[in-house]
Amino acid sequence: MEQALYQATILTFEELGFMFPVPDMDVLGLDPKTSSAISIDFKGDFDGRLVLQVESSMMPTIAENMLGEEMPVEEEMQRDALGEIANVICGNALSMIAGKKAVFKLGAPQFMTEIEETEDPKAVAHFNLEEGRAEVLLYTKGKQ
Amino acid sequence: MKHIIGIADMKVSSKPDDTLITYALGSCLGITAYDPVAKVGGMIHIMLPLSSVNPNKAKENPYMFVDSGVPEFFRACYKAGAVKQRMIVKVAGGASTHQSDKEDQFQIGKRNFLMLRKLLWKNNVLIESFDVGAKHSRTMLLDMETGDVTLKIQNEETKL
Amino acid sequence: MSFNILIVDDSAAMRSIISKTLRLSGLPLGEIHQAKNGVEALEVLEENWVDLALVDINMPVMDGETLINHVRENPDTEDLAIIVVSTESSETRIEKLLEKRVEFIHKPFTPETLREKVCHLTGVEYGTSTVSSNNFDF
Repeated sequence: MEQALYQATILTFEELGFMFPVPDMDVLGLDPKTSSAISIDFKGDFDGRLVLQVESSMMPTIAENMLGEEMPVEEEMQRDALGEIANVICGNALSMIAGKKAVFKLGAPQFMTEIEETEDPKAVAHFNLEEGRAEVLLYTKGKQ
Repeated sequence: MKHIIGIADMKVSSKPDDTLITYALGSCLGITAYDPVAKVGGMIHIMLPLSSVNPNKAKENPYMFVDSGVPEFFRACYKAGAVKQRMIVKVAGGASTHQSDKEDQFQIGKRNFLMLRKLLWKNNVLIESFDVGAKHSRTMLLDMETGDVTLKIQNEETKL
Repeated sequence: MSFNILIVDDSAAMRSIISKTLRLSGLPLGEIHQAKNGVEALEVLEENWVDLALVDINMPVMDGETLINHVRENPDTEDLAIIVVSTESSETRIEKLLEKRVEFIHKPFTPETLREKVCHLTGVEYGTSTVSSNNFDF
């Protein structure tokens, strides 16, 4: 599962964000006070949630890169852009994990106003980018 | 007339009997731009993605880096009479210099292409065609009469 | 001839990316409409002539597959050219979609891939961009 998170995240940040995430073996988590996170619920071959957490300072760059803008992007659009990155990571990761026969329905990306660890993730991937650090966490419910 | 573009170098031409050529594109990027109406265009051979690693070097020679070289290249093309909206952009190179990605720690080829794509996207330019990645070296030619770009890879020629 | 386009995706960022790509592709463009779900899309189609729709699958309120079913069942829109732009990777679902006479682009995509698909579907060759330079670009 971790391998899928790494692959899907690298692919998505490169293709959509023109950014270069490098897997980071340092498992120190991100500080919730200086991070922003998106959560996506999914149902299908197995149910669960994916969370993408990035250092908040990266948000403007992610949005500007995706939209191809040199001018600063509004905060709401920054959240939307991060949400779309999370959506694409989630869709690709699930397909890599469960195979091409699996069917999933993804919920709308939710910006997390509070980042709390309430349970242990099934898989985590940590990344270093030039612009900052990122984490992708996969939580699952029931049988996979 | 044949003009050779070396590493961290560029040339713009408006002469139909010119051929621009650059050799040994490994992790470097060869970029051509050609306005088929004005028959003006050029080629640049770029080494590295970001000039911030060596701003002094970038001042001396902006063509070494994607972020300093490509804008200068485009402006030189405009000066020679090319119109941005008509320019056809093609890219080759960005190869990995090692057998496996694990060994290619810095992945300069990949970073070069990513930086270029980001720059072009922000500056409202789409790439017409490209041949990047893999592990082989490429030679790139631009025919100023037709705008055709030819690649030579391991003794085989293909049109890009 | 200019093309009227409808972009259907719950992400404003993605709608913006698709819109920018279309403007850079050289396609002669009329109106570019946007909708954030299938219900809004059907409202747009009710009021406007659209030549090409780019549709995401996973959306709230009404998803892309349901929207496509409605579009194909309506004689006024049954022949609408549709490109599905989605992370969808399930072979079963993709096969089902292709049976509804749609083209498919997988997210993440490059702008060049989208341009190629659009030009192929509309029969328009890569044209010159309609985007003029601003003070910030080269």
